Amino acid sequence: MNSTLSFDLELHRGDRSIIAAATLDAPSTGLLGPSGSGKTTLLHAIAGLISPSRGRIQIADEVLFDSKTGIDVPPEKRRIALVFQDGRLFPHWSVKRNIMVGTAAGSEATNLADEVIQLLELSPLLSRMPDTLSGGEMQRVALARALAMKPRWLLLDEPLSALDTRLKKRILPFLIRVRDYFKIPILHVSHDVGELISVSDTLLHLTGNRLTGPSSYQDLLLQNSSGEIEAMNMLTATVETNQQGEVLLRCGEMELVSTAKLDPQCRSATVRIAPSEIALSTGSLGDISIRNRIEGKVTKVHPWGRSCLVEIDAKERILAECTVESCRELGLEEGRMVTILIKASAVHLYLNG
Amino acid sequence: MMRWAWLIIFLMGVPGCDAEDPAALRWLVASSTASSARQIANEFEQSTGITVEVIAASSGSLVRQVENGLQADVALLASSQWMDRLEALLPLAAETRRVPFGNRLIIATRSRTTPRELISLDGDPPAGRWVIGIPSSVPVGMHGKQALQRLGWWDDVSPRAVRAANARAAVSHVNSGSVDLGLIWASDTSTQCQVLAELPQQLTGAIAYPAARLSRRAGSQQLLEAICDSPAWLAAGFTPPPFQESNR
Amino acid sequence: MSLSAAEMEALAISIRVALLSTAIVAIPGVFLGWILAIPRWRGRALVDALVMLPLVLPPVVVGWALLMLLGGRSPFGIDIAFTGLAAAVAGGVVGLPLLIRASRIGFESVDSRLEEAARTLGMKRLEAFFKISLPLAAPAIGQGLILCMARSMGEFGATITFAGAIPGSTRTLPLMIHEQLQAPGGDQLAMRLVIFSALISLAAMATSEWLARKVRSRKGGLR
Repeated sequence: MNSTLSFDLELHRGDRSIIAAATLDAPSTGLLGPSGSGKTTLLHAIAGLISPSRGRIQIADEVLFDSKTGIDVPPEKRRIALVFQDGRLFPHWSVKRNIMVGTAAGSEATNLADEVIQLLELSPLLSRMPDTLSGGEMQRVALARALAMKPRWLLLDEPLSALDTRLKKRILPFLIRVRDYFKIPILHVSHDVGELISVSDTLLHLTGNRLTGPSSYQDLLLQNSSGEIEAMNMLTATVETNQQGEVLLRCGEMELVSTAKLDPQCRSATVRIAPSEIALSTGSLGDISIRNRIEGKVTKVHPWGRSCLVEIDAKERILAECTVESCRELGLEEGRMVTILIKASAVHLYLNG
Repeated sequence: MMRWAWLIIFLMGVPGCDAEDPAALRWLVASSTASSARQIANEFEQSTGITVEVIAASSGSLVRQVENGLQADVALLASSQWMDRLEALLPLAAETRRVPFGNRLIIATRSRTTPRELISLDGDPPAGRWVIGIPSSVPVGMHGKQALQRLGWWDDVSPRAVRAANARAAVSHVNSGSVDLGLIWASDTSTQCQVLAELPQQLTGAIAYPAARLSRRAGSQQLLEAICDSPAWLAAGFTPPPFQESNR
Repeated sequence: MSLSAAEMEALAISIRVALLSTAIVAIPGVFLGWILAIPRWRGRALVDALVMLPLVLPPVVVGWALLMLLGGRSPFGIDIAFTGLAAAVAGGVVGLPLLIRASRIGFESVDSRLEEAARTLGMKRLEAFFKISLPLAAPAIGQGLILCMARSMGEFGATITFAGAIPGSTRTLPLMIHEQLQAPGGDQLAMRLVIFSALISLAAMATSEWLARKVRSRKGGLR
């Protein structure tokens, strides 16, 4: 891709030194890491707000930073848009004026801005002032502002962290829309795995002051058996029925029941189930209130922090978390047949955009 | 710890500052007489044992303070007009009023290594920045304005004349050179300034320094007499009282 | 209650001098407030102490210092003592610390990260200052300018020392009131002038309070 971002940096933060090197050419890359690991610092360095102590940053053929030759392009010339965690809208300007701030003169730019406003459903808010907006609205405006600038790269710094779960679910589809519609490469930072898996094609992981990746979620997960990366099950599903408070979904050959609220119009959704909310049984069950009972075979048992992560083939790959004791008691090992038990309320749904 | 001790000692002393010596006399003097007045006050104290507190300011300012309730025993002013006003306030002043000396008004400039040319009163007013006492209240300014008006120089000079709050301030402006010329008392001349012209009585009007008692307290008559009899005034550059005034 | 020609003149001089003094110190004051709002640079504490000096020194000392620097014996060869300009400089110097302080508070309350955001959106540093930081700090700066003007109008010690009290050019309202209070019988006139001064000060304070409310109502982007 002719906007490949590659960097090889050393950043000082406090008394720590962060080493980060990667080449990014996927449409959307996620950067995962615990709070305080330096993800924001890395984004700011790429955007040009801080200078690395040494290294090189380059987009396609253009060198943005090179400590050897002394090149350091100022942020206003890099055309890399950064959406901050706290939005940072200009309080003395209306929403419209905020959005237009990075646009050049001319009809092409205006058209782009209009498209962005449409896509992010901001038309009713254009004349409002930032202090009258809700958290979700502010983030959408911040996103629009960054897009209207027609950047070469879009950096998102924990764009959903300040929002509650309900809002997160509502904004995520917008991010997906942005990725699919504008074709601007995205680097999306978050400490929430679920958020990243839904929008990113590939992942980077920043931990212990070192950057690893890009790689797929599964690879990353299983390489990091310390349990630092949250294990998550994410599946795409089609909606079969949606009535009386229950949604019946089909993921490939697997069927799931969820009590999540879903718009009756929706035909597809992303399913997210936390491994810690899955129980396993090897015996017969009798009467039990759990709605999802799925048969599967154990493929592998991974040590996972203080417990175990059991990989199961149930026509889809499912990860379940179990204590070491339970693993032993149930005799969970490769080849064992188990029944996966998931409460309908543990099946979370996300819109696809 | 020491800081607290000093603070306490200081605070204890503060009321003491205000404690008045009940027998002390308060003597109000025009600022142009201040240094000689202090000298006379010291001599008086030595010979009679009575302390004299000298308060110096412009004559107008002193009268104003008395009007506002300032208690004093003797007053020595640089202006008959202001003494008239005190008389209206305190009849005792009228009974005891005397004029021990007078003064002359001069135009002066800062002394320089090459002296300036003297000023002729027949010609145009000299150029440059002037200083004059506030003409509405300070005697050296009141007489100065009168002289300049009689010379026909007032309209030209006034817009470039800095106002001084009292005679001492006027002298200070002249001596420091922050102004080119000033109207000051002859008694205030020194080696720091050069006299450029002397203004005769026809121009300035009679300049008298009246003195009077303001209270009947013990020692006040004695003080008044000591003031009037003192040779210090002529020694300091003041003149004998103008004829019309000396016989009141 | 009407004023005589001399009183009107003193009032006009006062207003003229106050406006001129504020105009003289406006740009240096806002600029100094801005750089003092930038945290952690070498020498900041020293600069801060120096600019606050006119606030803590007796005004007569300030006037005397001006006389030494810009009067007959100026080391720079500049002599503006006892002119209307001198009165404006004296007023400006004593009002400057108030302007700097208000301007500094204004800039400090602007989230510096907004300028960062502006730069990522293509604005150059200077452009970001003029379009983002300055407008957001403006109400506080406005308050500072009014305070400076009010302070300058009320200045006595520095003005009388550096500018004299020349009727027609430097005898401002406070100086005229003082002069009247020196003379027996000057009470009535002094009282009229005092009332006028008080009215002007009240108007200045009311405007300042209105601006303060605008500052408080600014949400977002401020800390």
